[in-house]
Parts: sequence; C-alpha cells; structure tokens
Amino acid sequence: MELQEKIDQYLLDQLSPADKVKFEQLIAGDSQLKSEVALQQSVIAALGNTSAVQLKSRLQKIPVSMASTGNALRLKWLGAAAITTVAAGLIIFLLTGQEKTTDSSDSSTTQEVSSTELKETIAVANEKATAATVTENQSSTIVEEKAVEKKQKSSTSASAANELKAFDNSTNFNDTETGNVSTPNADNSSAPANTLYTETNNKLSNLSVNVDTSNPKDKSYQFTGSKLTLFGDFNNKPYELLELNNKGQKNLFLSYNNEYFELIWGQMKKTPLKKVSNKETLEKLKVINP
Amino acid sequence: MNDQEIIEQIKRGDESAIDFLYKKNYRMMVKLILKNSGTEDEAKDIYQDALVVLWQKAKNPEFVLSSKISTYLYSVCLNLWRKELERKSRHSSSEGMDYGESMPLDEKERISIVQKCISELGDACKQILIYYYYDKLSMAEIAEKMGFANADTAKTKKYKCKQELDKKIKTQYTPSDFLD
Repeated sequence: MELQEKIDQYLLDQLSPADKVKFEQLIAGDSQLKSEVALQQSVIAALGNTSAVQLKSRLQKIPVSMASTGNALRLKWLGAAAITTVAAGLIIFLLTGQEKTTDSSDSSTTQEVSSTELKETIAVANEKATAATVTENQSSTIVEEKAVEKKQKSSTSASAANELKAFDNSTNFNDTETGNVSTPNADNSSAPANTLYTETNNKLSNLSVNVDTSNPKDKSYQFTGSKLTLFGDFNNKPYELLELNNKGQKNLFLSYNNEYFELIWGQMKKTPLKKVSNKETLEKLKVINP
Repeated sequence: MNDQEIIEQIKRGDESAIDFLYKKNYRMMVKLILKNSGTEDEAKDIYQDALVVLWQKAKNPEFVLSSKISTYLYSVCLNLWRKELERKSRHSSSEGMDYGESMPLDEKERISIVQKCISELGDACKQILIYYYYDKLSMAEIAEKMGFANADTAKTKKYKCKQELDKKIKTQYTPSDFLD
C-alpha cells in the first residue's frame, strides 16, 4: 500500500484500532512521516475552509432582504384580511338578496344569524392573523429574556382583541343600510365602515413601492395611482409597510430605522413623512412589528 | 421538512438544506443583529457564517441537535456578533471569519498556505477533494454527485487532483514548513 494512501486512511479514521496504534508508532519514530502527516492535516483543514467559502458564496447568491421577507409575512395578514373581506362581501350579498324575497321580520332574523356567523368567520380570520404574529414573536424571542417575551405576547393578545372589536364595529348590520354597501360609487365619508375596509384592502393589494434616493435627506412620500414613492435613503436600511386595523379602517404606516410614519392613502402631493406620535398607535405598531 | 430531516440532509452533503434554512430564518437572525446596532449587510454576513458553522458541526458523527435549529442558529449568531463587536471595539483589522476552532497562529498560516494552493486548482478538482477529504464521502457518492461513470473514475480523478495539489504545495514549500 502506498504511504500516501495509508496517511489518508489514518487521517480519515479508516484504520482499525490496531493498525492505528501501529501507524502512530511509526509516525513517532519517523520525522519525515510526521511532517508528511502534518502537511496532510493542513490539507484537510484548508479544504474545510475552502468548503466554507464556497458555501458562503452560494448563500450570497440567494436573494433575501428584510423588505421582501417582511412583505411575505405581511401577506399572512393580508390573506386573513382578504378572507374576512370576502366573507363580509358574500354575506352582504346574501342578505341583500334575501331582503328582496322575505318580509321584514324574517329578514331581521336572517340578518341576526348571518351577522353572528360573520363574526365567527372574522374571529377565525383574526385568530389566523394573530397566530402569524405570535409565531413570529415566539421565533424572534427564543433566546431573549422571558419577561420581555411574555410582555410581547400579552400585548399581542390585547391588540388582537382590539382588532376583533374593530372588525365587529365594521360589521354592525343594525346601523348599516345594505343598499349603500353594494353601491360602488358610495361616498367614503358616509359609507359604512366595512365599505371603507374593502376598498382600502383592494388598494393595498395592488400597491407597488418605488424608492427615490436622489435626495437622501428628503424624507417624504407620494401616491400615484397604485404606486407609492418613498423619497429618501430608504435603501440603506430595511423598511416595512404595515397596516393597522383602527376603528373599522385600515391605516398604512411605514416602519424605518426603528421609527414609524403614517401614510395617508392616495396622497397625490409629495408630503413630508410625519412620525407617529399617538402612544396607543405606536404600541400597536410595535406589537405587529416588534 | 423537520429539523432532523434537515440535519440528515446536511450530513449527506446536500447544500439545499442550508439554502432552505437561510431563507426560513433570515428575518429572525437579521432582526437580532439590527437590534444590536448592526446593519443588514453585517447581519447577513454573520448569519451566513452561523450557517457555515452548523454545516461543519453537523457533519461530525458525534453532533447531536439538542435544541431547535433556529435556536441553535440564534445562539451562534449572537456569539459571532459579540465577537465581531469586540473586534470592532479593539479597532483591529479584519481577518475574515475563522471557521475552525481557535488554533495557534502558525497552524493558521500553514493552512492558509495550502488554501492558496487549493484555490489554484480547477473547480472539479477542488470539489472532488472537498467531497473526499472533508465531507468524507465514498467514491460511489462522489461519482454520483460529480456525474462520473463509476466509483473507479472518481478514484482516478481524486488521485490525479491530489497529486496536482501536493505538487503545488511541495514546489513552493518543504514538508518541514509544516512541522512545529
């Protein structure tokens, strides 16, 4: 057997215990063999480093960013919101249809039942959305102090409860004229809350974001149709768009560099970004984006 | 794919398991570094190093996963980032990531000599030698991964590549350079 092959077998731990002992005795008595084994040990370590460099270079080619993965997570929220919207739309459609064929007393009974069902559907959708947030919180706080984790979880639950309440407000059929709900040209200022919700949700799903870094000190935004342009150095650090259910409406916020800014939907004029100062809103935002 | 399946894949030398983990936990690990005064680029670098550590450790037959992979990566990232912050605070120059255990400088130098010679080999040779000496794959496994006809072809290729590497090392350095 060639010496090189024997060295390989020794270093790759392929020799029997007896052969290993014999070979180590040989090494001890032969300085040339000892230096050869040391060289081959360095070869294996260097191959390990080369493998690490290759693996790292492979990972660098994978496109990832906080913004993109953030959007993916936000999609879970959007998904839950979409389910709610579709459920609300379906039931409103059914209620509208039933109104035409039943008398008023029957209709009110049907509305009450459907309203309860809708609340249940919304609750399920909210649970899904909350679950997504809780999972994220759990995973991002594995090694962090437990006290902090507990606080976050309880805040999340509180926020979820508030949001459920908001959804409930938006589906208060006693105060809603179903005719207005199904009218496409209904004025937003007077339309019921669930109409606003549906429309803002549709807008967000079509929204695309551009960043204009030509003036890094300029921090402002502008909507052009379904396109949002952010002016400033937003490519230096990750930013996220967050939406928050608030009294039946979905408000849009920008999270950047540990600060939150409110964005007004459809603001056609280039507008300076305004920091969120409302404590309650800030707390809610920190819960969904800890 | 559960954690144990991922570890099995890594042990088999399947890099796609690392790709999967990279994407899956990216947000969590980057947030950790961002919260501790790092940038996203620094976070990416640290997280990639943490995955390399997992890749290397998991290949050890004695490696046992005692927590979730995400928890393991989180701890590694945290340690690497602490080291990086210490290094920054000392204002010392960067020597890149040390993928091995801490070792004397002369040994590091020897390895770096060999690494330079490895970098001069062709891609196929580099890969065969990594598969054989570092990943400890069998000739049949190497033949399959490299698309060779059979284990004998892999053995011949590995032999030639190793000869080429030894020649490169020995024309530039004597074996005694590798002795303490």
